Amino acid sequence: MSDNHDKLDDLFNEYNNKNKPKEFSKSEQKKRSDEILNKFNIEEEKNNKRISISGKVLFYAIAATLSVIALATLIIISSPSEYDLQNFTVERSIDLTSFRMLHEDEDSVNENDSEIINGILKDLSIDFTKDGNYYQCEKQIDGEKVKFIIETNTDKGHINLFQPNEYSLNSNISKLFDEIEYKIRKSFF
Amino acid sequence: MNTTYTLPIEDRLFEDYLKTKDSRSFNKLFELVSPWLHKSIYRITLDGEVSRDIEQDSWICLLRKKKYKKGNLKALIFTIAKNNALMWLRKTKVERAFFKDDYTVNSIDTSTFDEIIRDDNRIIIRQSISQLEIYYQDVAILYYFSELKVKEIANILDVPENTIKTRLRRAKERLVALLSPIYEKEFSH
Repeated sequence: MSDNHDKLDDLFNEYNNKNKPKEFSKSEQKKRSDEILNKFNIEEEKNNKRISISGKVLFYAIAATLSVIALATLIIISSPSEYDLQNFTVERSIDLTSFRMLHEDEDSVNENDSEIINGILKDLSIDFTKDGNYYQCEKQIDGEKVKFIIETNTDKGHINLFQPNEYSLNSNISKLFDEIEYKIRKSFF
Repeated sequence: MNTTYTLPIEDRLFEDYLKTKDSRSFNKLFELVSPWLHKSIYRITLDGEVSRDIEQDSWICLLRKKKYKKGNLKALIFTIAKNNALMWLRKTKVERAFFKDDYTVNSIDTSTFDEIIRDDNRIIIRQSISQLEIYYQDVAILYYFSELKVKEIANILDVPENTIKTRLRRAKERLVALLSPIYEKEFSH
């Protein structure tokens, strides 16, 4: 067996002798070594740039997301200002004094007001949210969404109907208000 | 008793390069490792340019690693380079079906016969090495292609000399078994 191993060694020796790699001088070795480092450094630089670019992209993506969130929050926060009373004018004030005089207990009157208004708004398919004494309402009129406010429990015991400042008295909202007033009076008396 | 484990010079040079980025450390490391490493790559590829490229890529791959098992640098660079070289060998399909029965010499032009036989021998030798199991392959490549002594191989692979001797003996047994069908005359049965 060791004879075979010796022959194998001879075979490889022969192979090696016929296939000798180039021998590099010291200066050539240094040149090759420097080339490797240069290539590596260039590659690293590219990677760092790529990382820095992707970092920037990430930064801008986060900034954009935050801006969108901020904008959305702003819209949400600012939306109640759509019902800011400054933007509305009292179109009519429904006097319920005579009815109030029949009821000495104020709490029962308040409860009654809310109950009646809730019922009327539902009957007329008016979307609303209640904010204290104010009903912030929205109704589609002639293909346009119209916002208006109903105020209850005023000092005078009136119920006030507010229309947006930009609406004229002749607008369609008056018809809606007529209907609301009619239903209120009918309910109270 | 205080025992201090000192890292091999190659590992210390690499560590130093990673810390300081001093190219002199890398140049020195390259000067120590490249001669035997380049031999093994060249004798697998038998192409000067390709072997230089493979060696360069292998060093760059090592530089990219940054973290590695300390004390294992030579084995690591050898494994990277060997795998790259064997991968190149497979990709270029240099290996021919010598271990199959369909090989005939009848069609070969006699004027180029010697040259083809010589090329075939080169292919057979490389084929035999690439077919060994990894432990025997590493030892065989370092022993035959890098022309290193058992002690040096033990030092590179960081295993005891006796283990290397055993692996080398088994590698030779396998190589004889692989090559004897082709080199019938050379090997005794």
